Amino acid sequence: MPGGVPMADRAEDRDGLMLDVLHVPLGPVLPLWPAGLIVHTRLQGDVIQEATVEVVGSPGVSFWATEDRGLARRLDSHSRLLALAGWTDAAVEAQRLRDDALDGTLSDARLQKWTRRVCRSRTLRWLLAGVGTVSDGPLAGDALTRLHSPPAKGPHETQWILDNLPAMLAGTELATARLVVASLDPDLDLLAHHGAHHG
Amino acid sequence: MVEQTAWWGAIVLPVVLGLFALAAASWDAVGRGGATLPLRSVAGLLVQQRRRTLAADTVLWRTAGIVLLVAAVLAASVVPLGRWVVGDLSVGLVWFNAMEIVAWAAVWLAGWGGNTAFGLVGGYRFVAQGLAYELPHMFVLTTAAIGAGSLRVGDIVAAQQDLWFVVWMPVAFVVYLVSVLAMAFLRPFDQAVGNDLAGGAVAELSGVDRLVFLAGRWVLLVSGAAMAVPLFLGGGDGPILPDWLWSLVKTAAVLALLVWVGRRSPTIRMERFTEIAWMVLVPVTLLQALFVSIVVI
Repeated sequence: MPGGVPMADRAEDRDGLMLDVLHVPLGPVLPLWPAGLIVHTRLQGDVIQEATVEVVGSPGVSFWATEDRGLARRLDSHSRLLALAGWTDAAVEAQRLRDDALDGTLSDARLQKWTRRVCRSRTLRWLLAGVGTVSDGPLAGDALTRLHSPPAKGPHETQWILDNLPAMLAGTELATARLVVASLDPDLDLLAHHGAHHG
Repeated sequence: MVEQTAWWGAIVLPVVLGLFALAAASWDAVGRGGATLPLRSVAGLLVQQRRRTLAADTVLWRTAGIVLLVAAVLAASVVPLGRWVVGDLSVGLVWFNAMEIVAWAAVWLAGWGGNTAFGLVGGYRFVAQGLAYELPHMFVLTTAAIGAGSLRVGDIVAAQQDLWFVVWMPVAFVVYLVSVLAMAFLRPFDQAVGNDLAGGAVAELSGVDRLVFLAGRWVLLVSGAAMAVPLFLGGGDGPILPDWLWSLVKTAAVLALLVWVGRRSPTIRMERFTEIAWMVLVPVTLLQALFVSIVVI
């Protein structure tokens, strides 16, 4: 046991090869990650073989649910997705627009310029298409369609995300998994009051 | 035409590379933290205490940054500045290629040494990236060598006195620039140190170790950009200005272009890029090499 940490187990991966199995939790504290969410993963290489979802803490009052912060909430969510997609410039601009929206000083011209830039990017389309596909319901579509036309998310949708995340994450590799979570972006403060959720 | 410098060339080279690296990093930070961000980061990292991780392979981990920086400088040692070159090797092109492969080991070691899952995944991502970009990259280097009939960088420059290689090998030039971004794991090929892994291969590197590693990465980018000048842009060839100044101007232009392009694109994941690399870039660069071979014969 090097450093008191048990060695990794080994198991067959999806191609039938014996590979190390690591148990890696994603969250609750991780940059660009929904606060309070833990996804316990069983990793082989960088592929998630199995995921379970847990929520820490009890829901508070959502900062975003009050007043008319809908636009700022969407910009906040987009900034995290873009940062995870590795487009720092567009992500930083989204954060600035979000702050302006919260202050009530948002310039429409800047918002439109940013929107055009993000919607036009062919690379982004190519990279997000087919990531986190949901077949029906209010969240239907993939990461790209949800970026272009963000769905409204209430307690019901948030619960649906937590229930379906394990199935959506199984078999994806880490980069895609992060994009899936950022694209669905559950606001855990919207949950009805109860304890841990296991998927 | 190209002659080896005296011993002081080996001292001037790292200084010039360092200045270019700083300029590139500053230009990269404009609009996000400001152009002074790299200098402030250097100051911060110099005084930062090292973080430790459990059961880290300390020796390999700390070696990683040094290996990367040294390999990046050595790669540039065969790149001529005007008519001077630090190392006028008869196999200069192979030397350049070998040094950038050493960088693979360095990034992988940085990811491995910290003994953390994210670091390890980041390290392996770079190996996958290497498999995707290296074949087209080597065909491109080969194409330039075929055009000049020599592996000596000085001969390649001399072969372009009438016509720059970029004019009749445009595909090779573009693929070379793409692979420089990939080998320096700069955006859009920065998956090995991506946000989604909280920094990936460098997630746990801190203090001086981090500084050396990141400096090595920028110097590697500069070396790659500088090599584009003798390979495709006629080296120090140009009107009015002295040849060494033309080398510097062209290097700066290539470097600025690379950073500018990188900032305009999201990170390209290898699971999607490998297909393009093998199905498009490999055949295209092979055809370019074939075309050049026929012309030379």
